Amino acid sequence: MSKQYETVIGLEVHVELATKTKIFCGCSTEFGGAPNTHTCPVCTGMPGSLPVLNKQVVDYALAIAIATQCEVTPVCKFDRKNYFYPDNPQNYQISQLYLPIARNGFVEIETNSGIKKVRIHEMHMEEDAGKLIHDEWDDTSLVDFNRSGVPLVEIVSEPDMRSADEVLAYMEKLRLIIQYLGASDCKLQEGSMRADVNLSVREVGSPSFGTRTEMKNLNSFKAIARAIEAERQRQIEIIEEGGEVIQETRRWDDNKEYSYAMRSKEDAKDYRYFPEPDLVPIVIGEDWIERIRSAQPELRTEKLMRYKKEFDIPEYDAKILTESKHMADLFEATTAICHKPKKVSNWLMVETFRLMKETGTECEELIFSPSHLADLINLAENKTINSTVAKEVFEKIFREDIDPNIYVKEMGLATVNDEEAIEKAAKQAISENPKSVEDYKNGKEKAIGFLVGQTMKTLKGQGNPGIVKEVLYSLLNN
Amino acid sequence: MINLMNVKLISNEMNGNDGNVSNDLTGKEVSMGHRIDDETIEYVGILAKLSLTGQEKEKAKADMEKMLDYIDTLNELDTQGIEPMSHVFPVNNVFRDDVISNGDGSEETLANAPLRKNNEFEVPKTIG
Ligand SMILES: [Zn+2]
Repeated sequence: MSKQYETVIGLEVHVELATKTKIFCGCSTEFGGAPNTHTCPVCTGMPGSLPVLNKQVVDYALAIAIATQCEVTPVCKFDRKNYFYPDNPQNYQISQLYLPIARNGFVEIETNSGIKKVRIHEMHMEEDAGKLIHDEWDDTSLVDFNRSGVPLVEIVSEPDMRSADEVLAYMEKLRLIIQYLGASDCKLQEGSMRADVNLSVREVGSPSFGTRTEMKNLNSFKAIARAIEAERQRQIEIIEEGGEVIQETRRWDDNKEYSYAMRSKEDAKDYRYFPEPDLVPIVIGEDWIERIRSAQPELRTEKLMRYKKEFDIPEYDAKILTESKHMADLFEATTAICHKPKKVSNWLMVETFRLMKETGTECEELIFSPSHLADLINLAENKTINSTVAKEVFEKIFREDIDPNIYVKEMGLATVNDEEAIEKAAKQAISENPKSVEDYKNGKEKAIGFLVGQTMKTLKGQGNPGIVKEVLYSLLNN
Repeated sequence: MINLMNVKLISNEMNGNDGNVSNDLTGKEVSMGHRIDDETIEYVGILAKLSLTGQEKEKAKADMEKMLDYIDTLNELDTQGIEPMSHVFPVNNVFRDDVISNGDGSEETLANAPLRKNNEFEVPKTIG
């Protein structure tokens, strides 16, 4: 019988913090500026420049530490990690090695195999590097230092995960916690959340770990899952052939679904760390921790529990709505105005998600105001507009955040309940479509649908569908 | 491969040994006369991105040996019960508020570029 293997995975997750300015200087962190416009002597490592720590970075890091049950280090400080690379203008990265801001935390994850704790070894603050782009024309690299000095928190887990499912659940959990805290938007594609995967395999039952590799360049959940599967297979093959896994850093190429070893000299783990002399220690007392703790917003798990108690909506809906804090906020604010949680949930779950998919909009990019959605729900509920019109008006709200009351009035979209007007339109439809009338009289029930459509067309789609049908039946049957 | 003195000093602090480096090293390495071998100087050169001539290597070796000997002198001090010093100034918690204070610094920054293309530094091809 062939041997059974177990995969052992630990993660290093980098999260870009949502501060307005960089970690050690007053340059903007805004995404998408022209190259090198958000730079100064500090974040480009000019001799004689002096870094000063952004307090908001510590506040965000503390919020994440508290939410992940970490112990906060009472006195922490920064260290220099030395390496040469063109995206690193100082020739060192300011990071924390000896006294990271927090240690020994955990989060709970839920997968098909149940609930499980993933322990957090430590969490530290550091600065991001610049960006290198390959220049095809000159066959050189171009460097943009706009990201250099953007604050990061690196969260290092213990090797507690055993499958890609668990890794994804862990990342999703971290993403939700951090997004709810407002500490980062955690977008994998844009690089505001990144993960390095440390993976080894061992025979089931073996008490010691195998040799692990570190995989980089994983920028989507799918890439992470694929890379884990491929690396597991690669290591098992090596072991089965009697070889030895080499401890190394590998770069994942998601297009080729293959990872390759990075040059070993780059991999030299000799960063010659030493204490950063330009930054003074950070002393974090109980009062500071308490201030952050008391300002902590309701997190996803608590919110989900409250939704179950407070609102009469399906659990599935509650899960989807709370997957994004922005969506949950929209739901709660709209419900607070119209007091119809089921209707609100429906509009968000169906029409909003449909339009988001159609337009490629993220939850965080939704612009419509809760009061406009609440007004629309009321207009539809009291039958001022029919459901087809309501969908059209909602699309206007979704795209332009129009006021539905004004819009419906100005565009004359209110449902026509006036039987006389409806009868006139119905008669017109009957006289213009003798074929359909004949079909109907010959027992083709379906023909009525066409006549309803024609009547509605005359009424510009605003007829009350119930009344339209009634009128047509009575005209045709008499 | 190499275990420079700073690595030792720091790892003690990290392990929470109250900075009692002397305990760890005194007695073991008080004997003067450290030797830096060729392999070590080669490796330090790689880490520092320096290509040294044979003569420069010999000079660097001698300098480094002197430094290590000096650390031994320091290690003779009894530091039992002394708090490790994490910073030379008795100051902590120096912060700035999260307020943008810098504008477009690109021209000043790019003035330092040995080679520039449009608004970026141009460097030898490097794969990230
Ligand atoms: Zn700057």
